Amino acid sequence: MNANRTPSHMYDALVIGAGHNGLVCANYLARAGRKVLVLERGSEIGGGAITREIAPDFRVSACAHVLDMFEPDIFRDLKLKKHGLVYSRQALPIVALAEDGRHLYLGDDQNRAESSIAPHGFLDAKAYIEFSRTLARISEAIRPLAENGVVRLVGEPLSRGVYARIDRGLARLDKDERRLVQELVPGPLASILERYFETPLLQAAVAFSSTLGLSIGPRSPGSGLAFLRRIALERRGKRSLAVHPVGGVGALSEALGAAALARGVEIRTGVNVAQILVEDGQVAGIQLDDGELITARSVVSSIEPSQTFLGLLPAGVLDAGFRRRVTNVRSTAMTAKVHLALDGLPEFKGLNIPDMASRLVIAPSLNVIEEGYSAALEGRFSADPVMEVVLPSIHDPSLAPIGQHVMSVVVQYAPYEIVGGWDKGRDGLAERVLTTLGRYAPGIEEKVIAGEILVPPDIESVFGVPGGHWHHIDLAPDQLYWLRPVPGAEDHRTPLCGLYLCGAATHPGGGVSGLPGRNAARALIAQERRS
Amino acid sequence: MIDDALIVRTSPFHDRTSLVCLTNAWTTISGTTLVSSYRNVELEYWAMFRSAGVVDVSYQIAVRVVGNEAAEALENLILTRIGDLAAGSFFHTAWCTDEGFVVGEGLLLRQDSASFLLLTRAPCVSFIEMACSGFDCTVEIAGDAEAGLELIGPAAPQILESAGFSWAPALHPGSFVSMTVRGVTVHIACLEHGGAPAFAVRTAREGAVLLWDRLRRAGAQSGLLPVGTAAHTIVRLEAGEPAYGLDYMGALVAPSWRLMSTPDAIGFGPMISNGKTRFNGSAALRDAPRPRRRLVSLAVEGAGTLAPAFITAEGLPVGHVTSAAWSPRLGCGLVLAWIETINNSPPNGLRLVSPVRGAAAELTDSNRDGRHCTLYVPA
Repeated sequence: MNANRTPSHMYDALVIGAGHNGLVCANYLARAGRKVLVLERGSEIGGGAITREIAPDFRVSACAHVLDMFEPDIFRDLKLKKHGLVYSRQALPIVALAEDGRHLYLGDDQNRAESSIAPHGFLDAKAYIEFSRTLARISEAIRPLAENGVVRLVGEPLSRGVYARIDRGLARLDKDERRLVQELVPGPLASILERYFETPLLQAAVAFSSTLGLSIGPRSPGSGLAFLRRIALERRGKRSLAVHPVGGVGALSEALGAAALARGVEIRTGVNVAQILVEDGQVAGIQLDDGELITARSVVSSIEPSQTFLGLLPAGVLDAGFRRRVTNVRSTAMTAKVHLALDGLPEFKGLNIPDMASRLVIAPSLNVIEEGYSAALEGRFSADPVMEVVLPSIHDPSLAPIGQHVMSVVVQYAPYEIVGGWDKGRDGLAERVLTTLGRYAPGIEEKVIAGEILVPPDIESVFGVPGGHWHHIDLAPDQLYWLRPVPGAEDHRTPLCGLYLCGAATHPGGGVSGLPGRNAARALIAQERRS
Repeated sequence: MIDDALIVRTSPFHDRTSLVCLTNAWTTISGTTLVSSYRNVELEYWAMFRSAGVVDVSYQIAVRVVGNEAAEALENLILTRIGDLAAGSFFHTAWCTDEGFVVGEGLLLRQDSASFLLLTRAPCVSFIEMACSGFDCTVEIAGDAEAGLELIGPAAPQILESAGFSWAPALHPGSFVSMTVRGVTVHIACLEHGGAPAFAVRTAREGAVLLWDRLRRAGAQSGLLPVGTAAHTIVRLEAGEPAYGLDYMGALVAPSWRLMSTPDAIGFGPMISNGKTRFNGSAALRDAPRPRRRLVSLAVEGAGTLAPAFITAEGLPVGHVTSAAWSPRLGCGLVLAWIETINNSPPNGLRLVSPVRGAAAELTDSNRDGRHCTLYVPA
């Protein structure tokens, strides 16, 4: 038992939400000797990181469909392999689909990348290799900022060494690499990529992933910063971290849950937290909506910050300015999911089966991506939707019956509200997605046995994320790093003593990295040591 | 087309005050154009001590907070404990940002258990709204309290009684009453101004002229004079009361943190009720270091130009004057000034230097509490 726990407290820490970040946080706290209870409103753990059945025996990752930035240190620290997490495919490459079958391979194999780009432009092939090397070096330089909790710049002495490490990292970059970082921080990504490459497909393929799940276009200010964040998180130098777990992304949550239970964490599902209890300006526990009181020294919330601060805390606990900042946080979801059960593998023109198991990107040009963004701003979805497609059952037979497959599609730029409403628009989006897929994989419509489409309001209702935003709040320059989710809660601590945040709305943001959960646990433990 | 911002915003009493403003001396407070002096500043000043003076204070904003949890919402905001405020009474209080810097200050009147009226110079309605969000209450500008007067002087109670507001003279300082007399609804609060009886009277804009005329008629025999802001400022400085926007900047409008002030720095520290641990900004104030500069009230002996002026200590600039006036009653100059403090006290060797006259004042006496230092201006 932890000596710091007041005898009257039932737990050292309560974690609200059993999403992957909540579970990571609970694991690290338990590993540090804390008695932890995780409270989940849903009937199963995992939040958005679950694998769900879309038709009998067809299972698919519900929100994120690959683990493209899961922190390897967390995998090792929590011994997740021992708890059942096995990857069916590692270092997943991106394959940018071309209608004529001259697809681009953008993976760790640089020779293959060069040879796939060369038919589009010899200079682009060379430029891409150089660009990849540059990105790898930049990724190494800025990764400490992404993987560690941010340091408060206001109100506390700057004593931690994260920035010193970044300084050292940046010092190792050459002049051109540093200039690229300088340009990316404020600038639109598109203009930089247009300077590097001439091939529209290549420009779009590089830009696409950095807009995934976001409400910005490649020509938006801040898209460069989002790109920097992504390369910092999804790479370890030259190595891509993108993996696919056996059993889908839900397998991660199951492993985290098993690891937590093994460490003595208690997990309760189907319980709804009604209020965070506060006594003498300090968190005292929570009250469930059935009236049950659970006391604890600390509460860590993995849910969206406005729910935490404005929904669960009694009025008057927080200062007015902080509440105003929380109220003003922007959250604009623009991403939908389409899941298909297929009777057989679709035939993509010019793509062999191993490459079909990659992350297939359909984004012909920057302009097409940007048009999708513009359409979403007007409450429409694009006639030419951009998307990322995976067929996990190729390398993970557990997800579909033998000979059949599942396809998961992230459709970018599907706004939360559309003109005419989603009740009418849902079928229209599904039809456009299938039509677009058909251009690259003719005849795919005939293979569809079953399917589902999750537009932002569905994601909101199914996963309990307000606004259906994968990252809980926008990943915009004014909501990143020291400003995420709001000043005053940027390092997982909040103005209320004993309350911490560990969800996607905290640094470094959404995506299944586990870093917000781990860093929140570290912040809690460090704070307890200080006090 | 004329930009609305360029249109002069007049007081609800303008139709009457402009008729008797013989000096044509006007000033602007919080965007409202008011008479600076009607005839003679000293005459108006003495009227407040010998008979009565009526001052147009319509620059104040009246904010109404109403609801079952209005008291809890305000308790969470202001420095003073709301439980100390009974229905029908008011107190002077202030409120801060999260960082513990003063946003504004004003009079908080409790009309009943669930209804409050806040009179303030600080334009901070949206801030109060945000502070009250989450509580069962509403925050709105009180349209029935847009026109404000202060009636100051020994004859003030009798004038109010003659004007038909018979309950008003019975009020004791810190209490107020709302009443409707012959079609005019007024809120009358009993203030204290340097020992002289004083009342704040507020009504709706449409009743302003009627109120003015009624008070002028009732006070005609008692020597009631309209008093401009210049004479009113002297009374304010005698009481050592800082003015929002003049002596200190509200934290919501200050362009820099350097220009924001904690309650202690302005002299509002005593407003914080003993034992009150939770109000907006309280956490920041607990950790805040002592203010390095303080707003102090200084008496300057002898004649001299008091403002603009700055203050030096041992030859180095340590402060500047924000408000200044000659007090006929005290026979000295009065200034409010920001001074860099050492261990919470003004430094030694203070001198007031006026760049206009080239004169300097030397500190001859100080009670060392940071207020009411006496300075001497050599002839």
